[in-house]
Amino acid sequence: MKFPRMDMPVSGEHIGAPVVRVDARKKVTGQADYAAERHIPDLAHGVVLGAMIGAGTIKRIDIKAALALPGVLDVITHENRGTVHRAKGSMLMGMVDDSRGVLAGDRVTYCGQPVAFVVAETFEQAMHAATEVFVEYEEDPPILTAETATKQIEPKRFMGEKLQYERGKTDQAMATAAVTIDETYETPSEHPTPMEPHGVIAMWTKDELHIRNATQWVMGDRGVLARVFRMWPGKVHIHAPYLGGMFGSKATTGGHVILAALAAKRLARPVKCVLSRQAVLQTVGHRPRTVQRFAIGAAADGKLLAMRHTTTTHTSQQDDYIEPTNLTSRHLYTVENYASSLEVKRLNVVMPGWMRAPGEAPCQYAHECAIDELAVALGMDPIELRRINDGDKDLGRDLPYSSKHLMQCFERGAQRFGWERRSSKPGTRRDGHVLVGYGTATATYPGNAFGAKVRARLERVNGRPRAILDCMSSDVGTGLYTVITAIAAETLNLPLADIEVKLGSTDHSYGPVAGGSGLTAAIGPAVYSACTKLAAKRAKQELRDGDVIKASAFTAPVMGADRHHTYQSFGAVFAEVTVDPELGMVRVRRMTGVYDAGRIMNPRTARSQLLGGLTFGIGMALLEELIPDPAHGRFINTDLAEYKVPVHADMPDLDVSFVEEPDLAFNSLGCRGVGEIGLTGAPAAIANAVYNATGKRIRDLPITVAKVLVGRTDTT
Amino acid sequence: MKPFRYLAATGGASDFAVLTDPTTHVLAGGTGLVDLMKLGVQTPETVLDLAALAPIGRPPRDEGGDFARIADGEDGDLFVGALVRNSTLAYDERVRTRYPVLAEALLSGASAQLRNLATLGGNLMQRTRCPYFRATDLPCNKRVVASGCGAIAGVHRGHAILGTSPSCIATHPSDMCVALAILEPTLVIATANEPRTIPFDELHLLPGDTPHRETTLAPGELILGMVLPAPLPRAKQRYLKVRDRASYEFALASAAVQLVIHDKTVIDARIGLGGVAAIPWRASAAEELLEGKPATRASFQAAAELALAHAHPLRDNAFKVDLAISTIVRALELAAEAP
Repeated sequence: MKFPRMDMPVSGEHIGAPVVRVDARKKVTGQADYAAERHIPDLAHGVVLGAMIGAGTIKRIDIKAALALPGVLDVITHENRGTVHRAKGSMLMGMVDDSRGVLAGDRVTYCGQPVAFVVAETFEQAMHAATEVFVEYEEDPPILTAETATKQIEPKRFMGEKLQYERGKTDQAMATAAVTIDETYETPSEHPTPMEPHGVIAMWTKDELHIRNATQWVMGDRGVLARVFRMWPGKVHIHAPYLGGMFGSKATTGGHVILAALAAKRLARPVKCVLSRQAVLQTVGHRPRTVQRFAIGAAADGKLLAMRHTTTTHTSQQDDYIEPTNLTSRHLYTVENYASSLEVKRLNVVMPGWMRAPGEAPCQYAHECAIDELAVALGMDPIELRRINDGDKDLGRDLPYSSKHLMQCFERGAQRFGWERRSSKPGTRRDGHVLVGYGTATATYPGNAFGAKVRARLERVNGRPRAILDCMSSDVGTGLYTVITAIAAETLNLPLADIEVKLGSTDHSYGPVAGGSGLTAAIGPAVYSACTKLAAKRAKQELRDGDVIKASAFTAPVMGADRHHTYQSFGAVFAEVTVDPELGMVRVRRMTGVYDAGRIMNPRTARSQLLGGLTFGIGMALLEELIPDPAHGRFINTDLAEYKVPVHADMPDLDVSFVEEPDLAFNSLGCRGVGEIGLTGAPAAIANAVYNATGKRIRDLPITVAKVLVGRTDTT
Repeated sequence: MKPFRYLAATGGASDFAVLTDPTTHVLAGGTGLVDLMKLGVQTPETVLDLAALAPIGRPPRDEGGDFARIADGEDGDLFVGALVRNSTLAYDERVRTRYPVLAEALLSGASAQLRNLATLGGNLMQRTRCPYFRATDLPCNKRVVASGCGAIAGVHRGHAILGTSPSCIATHPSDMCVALAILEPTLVIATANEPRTIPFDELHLLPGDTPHRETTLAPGELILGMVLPAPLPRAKQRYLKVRDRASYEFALASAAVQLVIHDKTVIDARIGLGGVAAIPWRASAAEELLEGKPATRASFQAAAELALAHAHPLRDNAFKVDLAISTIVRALELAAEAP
C-alpha cells in the first residue's frame, strides 16, 4: 500500500497521474489571456523614465518638450504628481520596492529609480517622448559595493525565525575538531527576469480600480493600491489569469503598476505599461550578492562538531529586503554547536527582491561546497559524510521532521547516476581535450502552505454535471489549473473536461501569493476537502438540471513547521561536467536529481518544474551575473544576450525522479511543493564536479572561462 | 524610438541620392539596426529598406539582383551578394565544401532565427556589443564623439586587447568577419557611379582617436557583395569559438585558421582572431613565423604567443591573452588533425 492513510483511491485516475496541462492548448495557440496582452479601446501607453545616476537630487526636470510631441497625453513627475500616500511593504498587505512611494520626491537613491512617467497614444510615442524629458541632477557618489558601504542592518528575524542565532558552544567545539575548513563563497547579484516582462493595464470605473497585472500575488497588489489611493480594498480588482513565469519577481507591486493606475485616473482612460527587458533587469529587484563564510569542524570519523555561517548581503538605502541565507544551514545536518549571523549593507541599488529559493539557493551553494571541501579534507566520500551527519530531528527548532528521506535520495541517485565511477582523485579523468568530474550536493526547501480558501459548486446543465472552483491565487505557469482540475475530477468522479477552475483574481475566494513553493499544499487539500463535501451532499440529494450544490473549504497556513514537526523537502543532485583546462570552458554533461517532496500530485508538471530548477541551477553555477557599472550602478548587461541564462545547447540530459513518500502530517494529500527545490543543490553539485574535474576550487559564482583560467594568467 | 522616414529601396539611382545623406541608415536584415534604434543608439532621419531588393522567402539564387545571389565566378571565385542571409550562406554547398571556416563561423554566431534574417552586408557593418556603446546614458566615444570611454575605468572583462586605443577598447563582434579575414575576399562597393572594389582588410578602421569612424565606406556607398577567391589546394580550415554559454553568445576569443601542410611542414598559414580585437584581426607575423616550420604544437604555441605579443590587456580582461593563445593553438591543432 503506497498511501495507507488515504481515504481515496490508492492509484488515482487523475491524482498522481501525468495529466496533461489543461491550459496547454490555450497557451500554444495564443488563447491564454496574459495580463497586458489585451487590447482595450482607448488604451493609452505609459513608459517609465528611470534616473541615470546612482545617488543625488533632481535639480530641475523639464517636461515641456516631451508634452509638445505628437500623441503625448501626460508626463507625471514628482513635481506634478499630487499627494503621495505611502504604502510600506508588508508580507501581509503587499510589498513595494520603495517605501518612499513612486515619484515621491527629488531624492534619487538608485540608478533606474522612476523620475517620470510618460503617457501617449502609442507605445512608440511614449518611448520617444521619454527621451525628450530633461532631468538635471546634483550627483552624490553612490555606494555600490558591500565592501565600501557605511550603513548596515543586522536584522533580528525573518518570518519569525532568528537571523542572529547560536546554540551550543561553537568556538570551543571548533577547537576540539580533528579537521576544520574555513572558506568564503560568493554569489553575485542575479535576476529572475522571466520570459513575460512585467506588464499592467489599469482602468477606473467610477471609483473602482481594475488592474490586469502580471502578478503572482493579486492580494498584495490590492493591498498596496488600496493604501496608495486610499480606497476600500474591495474596490480594487486585480486580475492575473495567466503568467509567463515570475521566479519571485512578480510578488512585489512595482512602481509601474502604481504609475499606470495613477495615469489612468488622471486621464480617465485605460493605461498600459509593459517594462522593456532593460527596465526589467535594471529596476525589478534582483537577488542580492552574498558573501558567505563557512567554518566547519569535524571529528576524524566525519561527525560534525561545530559550524559557523556568516553572511554579508545588501539592500537598498531605505528598505530592508533580507536574503535569508542562514535558515537552512542550522538544521540540514546534525551539528550540536552552531552559530550564524547575517548583516545587510545599504547600497545605492533598487531594493533587491525575491528570486527562486531566496536564501536557500545561495545558502545551499555555499553550504554544500563547504561540505564537499570537508569531505576532501577528511578523505571521505561526500555522500558518506552526509550519511554520518544525517538526522531525523531539526536541531534549529528542536522538532522532528515530519518525513525525511534524504539518504534514500542519495542511494537512488548514486545508482542512477553511476556515482561509483567517480574518481576520488581530482583532475585525473580525461576525455580528449577535456577533464571530467562528478559532483553531488543536497537539495532542500521548506514545506510551506500559505493557507487558502476554495469555493466549489456543482451544477447540472443539459443532464451533465459539472463543477466550478475558484481561488484568488495565480497559476504562474507551473500547473495549478491542472492540479486543481485533477483533484476535483477524481474526488467528484467527473471527467477532467467537466471541471472549470478559475484562478488569478481578487474576485475569487481567498488565495495566497504564488510563492514559497506553497500553492499546491495550500490549495490542493482545500480543493480535496471542498469536493469531498460536494460529493457527500450529492450522495444525499439528486442533482437535477438547474440545481446547484455549493461547498467551500480552507486550509491554515504552515510555514515550514508547526508545534509538532518541521516540514521540509529534500533531494540529492548529481552532476557530470567537463572542463577544458586550456580554453576554460565548463559544460554540464548530465545531471540526476532525486527528490523527496511528499506525494507527487502530477509527475508531468512536477518533473517539468524540477527540470526547470536544474536548468536554473546551471545558469546560477556557470552563467548568471548582473554586472553594475562602477560609476552609477547601472547594470550593463540588461538584455537576454548579455544577462546569460542557459540556452538549449547548455541543457544536457537531466534525469529527475522522486522518492515518493506522502507527508500526511503536513496535509491530507501528503504533498509538498516542488517550485524551488530543483534550484537548490544544483549549483553546488556542478561546482563540486568542477573541483573533481580540475582539482581547483572556484568559490565565487558563476564559474566562468575567466575564472577557470586565472592562475594561468597574470591579472593585476 | 525616434520617428524616422521609411523608404523602400528601388535599386535605382534615387537610392544613392538618399544614401549620400549621412542621416540615412540602411536596413537589411534589421537584426542590428532595429535593436539600436529601439535603444536610441542609432537615430536615423531616413531608413532605406533594402528588403524590396531581396524579399525574404524567395529562393535567393533565382530572385533579385546581384544583391541577393551566390554565384560562381571565374577561376573558382564565388560571388556573394550583400543581401544573402547568413543561414543561406552557411548552408550553401559551395561554401561548406570550399570555405568550411566561413560556414563554421556563421553557424557559431547568434541564433537560427537571427541568422535567417541577418545578411552578409549587415554582418560586415555590424556594430560593437560594448555595453557602453549600447546605453545612451553611459559615456562612449564611438557613439558620441569625445564623450569618454566608460569601459576603460568600468566593466571591460569582455573587451579587446588588440588594436585598441585610449579612446576605445570595444571588440568587433562578428564571427563571420574573422573567417573572412583569412579568406581575403574582395568587396564590391556600389556607388552612384561605377562600382569600386577594395580588399576585405581595407574595410574596417582601427579606433585610434576616431572610434566613431568604423569603416572606409563613404556616404552614398553601399556594399554590393564580395568575391571569395578560390581556396588554396589542400587547405585545412577551422573556426573555434570560446564562450561561457554553449550557444547564443559573442566570443570571448575565437580563431579562424587555415593550414596547408606538406611533409609535416607548414607551407601556408593564416590566422584570424575574434573576440579580442577592435577589428577582425589578422595575425600576419604569427603566420610568417609558422610557415616553413613543422606542424607541431610547439610551432603553433610559438606562433600564437607572437600573435599576442603586442596585446594590451586591462585590469579585468588579462585572461584573454592566454585564452587567445590557447584558442589559436587548439584551432591550429584541430585544423592540422583534420583529414
